[in-house]
Amino acid sequence: MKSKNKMKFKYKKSLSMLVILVILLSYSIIPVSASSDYYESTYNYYNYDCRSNFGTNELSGEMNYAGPTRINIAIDYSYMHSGYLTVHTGSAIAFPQTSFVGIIATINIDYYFTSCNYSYLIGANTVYSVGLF
Amino acid sequence: MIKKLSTLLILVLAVGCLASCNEPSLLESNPNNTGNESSSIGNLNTDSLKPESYYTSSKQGITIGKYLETPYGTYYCSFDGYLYYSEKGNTKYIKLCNKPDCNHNSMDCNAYISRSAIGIGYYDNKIYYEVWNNINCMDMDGSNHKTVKTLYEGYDSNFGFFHNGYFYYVITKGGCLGAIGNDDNNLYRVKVDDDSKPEIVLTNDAILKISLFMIDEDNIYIIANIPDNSKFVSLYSYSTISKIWSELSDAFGGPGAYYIIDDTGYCYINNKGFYEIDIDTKQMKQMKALKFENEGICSALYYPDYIYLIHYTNEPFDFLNQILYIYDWDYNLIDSVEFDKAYGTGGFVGDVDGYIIFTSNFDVKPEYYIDKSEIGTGNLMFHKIED
Repeated sequence: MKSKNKMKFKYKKSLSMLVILVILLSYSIIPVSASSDYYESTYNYYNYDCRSNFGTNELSGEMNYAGPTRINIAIDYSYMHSGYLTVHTGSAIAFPQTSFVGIIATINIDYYFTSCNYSYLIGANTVYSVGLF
Repeated sequence: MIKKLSTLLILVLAVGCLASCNEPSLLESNPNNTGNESSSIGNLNTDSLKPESYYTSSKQGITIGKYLETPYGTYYCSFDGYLYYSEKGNTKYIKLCNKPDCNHNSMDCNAYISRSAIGIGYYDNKIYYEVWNNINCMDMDGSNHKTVKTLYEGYDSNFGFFHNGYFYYVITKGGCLGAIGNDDNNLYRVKVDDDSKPEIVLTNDAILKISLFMIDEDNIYIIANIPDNSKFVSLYSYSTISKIWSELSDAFGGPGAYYIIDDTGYCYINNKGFYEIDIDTKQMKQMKALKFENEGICSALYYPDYIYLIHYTNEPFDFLNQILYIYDWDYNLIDSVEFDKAYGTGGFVGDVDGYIIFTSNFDVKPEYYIDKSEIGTGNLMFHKIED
């Protein structure tokens, strides 16, 4: 009886490990696909956060920073015209600001964004970047 | 038995998990990253030099200004901002950097010109590229990067390309073509190799609806969107000599499906066929009717040897399943082949010399080629470009 219980415990343990590994594996092979992203951290002991949103007709990014240095956001995106195959690339950059900076790009209904890379800068340093599609 | 199977399964999953976690990035795994492979870059091939205007960055393609033929070889700017080089008559692409000890994986690499680079151009033994509102240049071997000109003050975006020593552009205040907020109806150009300021080439409200433009000698052709009509676009011409503006057609084929040279415009209209327009008489006629059972979306690319029609078959649209149809200039179908290697955004890159170049994703270097000598042999296929 004791040996049977021990066997049962071992099977449960193996099954648990199996489930954990399946979860781990699925995370490691499925590409990240998201339409929004949020990130926060510190730079020079001051907090900052970055919020990115991707929509087929609108891109936006926002950044807050508690420090005195100017901050900025740059976006590099690709877009297409509905019904046609040419892939355009474009970029935009906000006016540098202190404390808060935001950027938005809105496209006509005949076009749609296919991907965007957001770069968040404090001074001249890129402190965070993320790609959304 | 169950225990053994479970253990085996766990081992397989663990190995798979670790392998995928440790997979290096495409750049890291690139065997070209040895730092000294671009030593032969920059040798001028004088065998078949062509006029400067031939090396325009507005060549036909799915991307704009990313693939550039020069007298020194072919250059490709990936969407992630790296410049690759291929020697003439070759299909192998390497990062354009000969800095010793460079891992070719950072912004310090000579091959990195910025994710924000709109396109690349060639003029008088230099490579030019535009980032934000600055024109930059470098030597043909990727060294000596410098900013040569600022187009305008402020942070507005723009769209344009290099042609015959100039950068032609429109300012897109809203961020891109067709954006809400675009209010500048000028087409500008600036000489890239002197101290002159930008000049307005043309002012017209059609610029606000512009989809693409192209230049053929002294004429500029504007392709403009028609609201709520994705099948056709308007085609206008403007002579930089006579300053005459005229509407040529309001039923022309759109971006990635047209070509204009020597007073003839060529276009493909989805599920209608190939058309030609006489620029002088504005007469448009169908040259070949073509209808696919699965309409999908098509791109027609006109090159000296062949006309390529690429049919994207997936619904809803994506780049995964593409069929390349190859026509001669009499619109006879010569051959076809499927390209099923794209992931994300990828496909046709360019046509140069004896090869047609494709990539699985525009973020990476060209990866596949078709040897044109195989067209029509019954043995047409994509070859992997081996490192």
